Amino acid sequence: MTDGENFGTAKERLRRRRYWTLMGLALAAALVIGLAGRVLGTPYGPIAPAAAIGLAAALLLLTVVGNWVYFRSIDELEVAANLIGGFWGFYAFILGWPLWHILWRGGLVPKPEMLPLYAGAGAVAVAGFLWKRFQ
Amino acid sequence: MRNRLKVLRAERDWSQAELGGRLGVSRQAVNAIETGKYDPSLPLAFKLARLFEMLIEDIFQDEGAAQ
Repeated sequence: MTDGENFGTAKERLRRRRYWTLMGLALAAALVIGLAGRVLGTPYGPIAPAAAIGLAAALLLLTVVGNWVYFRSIDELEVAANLIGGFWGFYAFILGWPLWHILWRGGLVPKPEMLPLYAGAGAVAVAGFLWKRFQ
Repeated sequence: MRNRLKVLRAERDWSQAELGGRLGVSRQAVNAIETGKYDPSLPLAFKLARLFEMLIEDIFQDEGAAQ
C-alpha cells in the first residue's frame, strides 16, 4: 500500500471490512452451535454427554479465540465501548438477581428465572456498548 | 478537553476516514475525538502529534488549565 492521497481511506475501508467479516463469522459460528444444540435435542431436553461436552468445548473455544481476534482488530474507542458495555452487563446480572429475588419475596413479581436475567444482562451490555460507540 | 483536530484535518483536506486510516482507528473514533466525546489515549495522542508534526499541547488544550 503506497502513501497516496487516499492511503488512510483505503486502510480504514480494509479495517472496516475485516471487522464486519469477523462479525459475520461470529454470527455464523453462533448459529451453527445453536442449530447443533437444536438438532441434538429439544432446547431444554437432555442430550448425550459426549455431545454436551463437544458443544460446550466448541462454545468456549470460539468465544476465547473469537474475542482474542476481535480485540486485536478493534480500535481504542471500541475497547472503551466494550468496557462500558461489559460493566453495565455485569451489574445488570449481579444486581438483577438479588433485586428480582427481593421483589419476588415481597410477592410483587414471579419467581426469578435465569434465562430472562441472562438475556436481559446481555441486552444491557449491548446497549452500553452502542451508547459509548455511537454517542 | 478541546482540540484542533477538525481544523488540522481540514487544512490537509482529509476526511475523518482518511485520518482514521492513517492513525489505525475507525472514522467514528476520529469523530468522537473531534467532538470532544472521547479523549484519546496518550499513545494515540502522540501518534496524532507525529502525524501533524506538532506538539500534543498544540493539538489538545485542557479546558481546566489557567489561560
